[in-house]
Amino acid sequence: MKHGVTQRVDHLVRQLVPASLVLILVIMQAIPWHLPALAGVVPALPMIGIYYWSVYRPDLLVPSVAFATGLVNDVVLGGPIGISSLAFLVIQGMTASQTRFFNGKSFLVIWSGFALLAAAALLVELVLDGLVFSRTPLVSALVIQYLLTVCLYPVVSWLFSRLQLFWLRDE
Amino acid sequence: MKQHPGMVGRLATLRLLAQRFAFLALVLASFAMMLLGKADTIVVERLRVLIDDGLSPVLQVLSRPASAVHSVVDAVHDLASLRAENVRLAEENARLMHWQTVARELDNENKALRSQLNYAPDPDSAFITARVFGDTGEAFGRSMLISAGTREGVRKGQAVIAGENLVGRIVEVGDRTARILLLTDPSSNIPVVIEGTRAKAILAGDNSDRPRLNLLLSANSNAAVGSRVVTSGHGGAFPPGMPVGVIASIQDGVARVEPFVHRYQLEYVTVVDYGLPGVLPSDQSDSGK
Repeated sequence: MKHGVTQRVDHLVRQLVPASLVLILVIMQAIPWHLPALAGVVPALPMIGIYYWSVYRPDLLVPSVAFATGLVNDVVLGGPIGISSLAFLVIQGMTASQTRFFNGKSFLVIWSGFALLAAAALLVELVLDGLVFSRTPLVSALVIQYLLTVCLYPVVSWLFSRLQLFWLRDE
Repeated sequence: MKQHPGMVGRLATLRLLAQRFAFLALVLASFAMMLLGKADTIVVERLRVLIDDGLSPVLQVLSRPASAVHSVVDAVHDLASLRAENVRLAEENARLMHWQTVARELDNENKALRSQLNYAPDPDSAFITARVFGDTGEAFGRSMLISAGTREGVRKGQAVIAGENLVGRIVEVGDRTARILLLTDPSSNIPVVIEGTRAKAILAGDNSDRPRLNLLLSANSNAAVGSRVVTSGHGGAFPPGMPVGVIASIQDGVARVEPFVHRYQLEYVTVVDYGLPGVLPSDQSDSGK
């Protein structure tokens, strides 16, 4: 009986690491930072999490995780629900279909991949928000949001790679 | 045993198919959610409130360090401008003392006149002060989460103020949390008047920091840069005379208002219940339940 209860719980907890980290990013972007410069725009942090784990642990970041975290993200942001779910599914789906491409690529390639997919995901949000809910954002705010998100990728990705080493190494 | 590799291969294809199917189903579910949300069903609102209430303890804890950093930065700023600020405050105090005397006289006069006219006073208002723990700055909408809900007596449509100035109104109420729709959100339309002119207008948010002022009559001549804008009380959502902002610019016939309150400054807000029926259609459905 080597596979005791503790071991199974341990396994389950490790399985939930990527989803929990994406949820933490969702919460991080909703905290009032009281920064005049940030007023109005906050980087779309959860997209970084979705992309990172889809690239490095596609077995743990499955479509249902992308969908569920997207739902929570929409609620926290107070926007129409379903839009982030779809945007996250776009990132997850496109990354998952290219696992062979991403395998063993340098950081720069992965970062560029994120820049592309984040643009695609924000475009999906823009189109749906406009078509279904006739909400139009300030283009400048959207561009700033995109640039901030892409610029923050290395930081979040570095943190996640540390955590991945720490928690998910022996799997 | 020879069948083994074939079985594995078939299982893998099956699994792949199942994953594809799950992905497609979830994409469809996202669209379904959007349509459900567009129809404004109670289910969606329940779901929102449930998630907001569930996340609020985490958000509240995490927002503490952020506001601690904010107050340290503020303290340093204050130290630097202490002297100048002191002089300014002394001047302002002298001016306000004068106004206080005037206000007292006017208050007495008002009371006397009201008693002569048998005037029906405005309903008394109740205040609920709450902490802002969620500031969701995104490119599409402007709202905030506060730490008070139905339990504290917050209702949909109530006005939210900081100091004396209007911040927005309540659009979503959970058990312990509520969401404020800020003046700058595209779905925020507030009936206002330009102070001193009685020119009526609608203050419409459009995601920029300065909402548009849509004048109801072609009374453009009345709007001048620097004029104060206050709530008109029309529609019954807000009491009249609540300060909103000043006209900051008029370009091509479009006046824009700089609100008195900036979102990044907000740490505590006050929800005000004036006992007036709100303009939101959902208010009736809420009270009818």
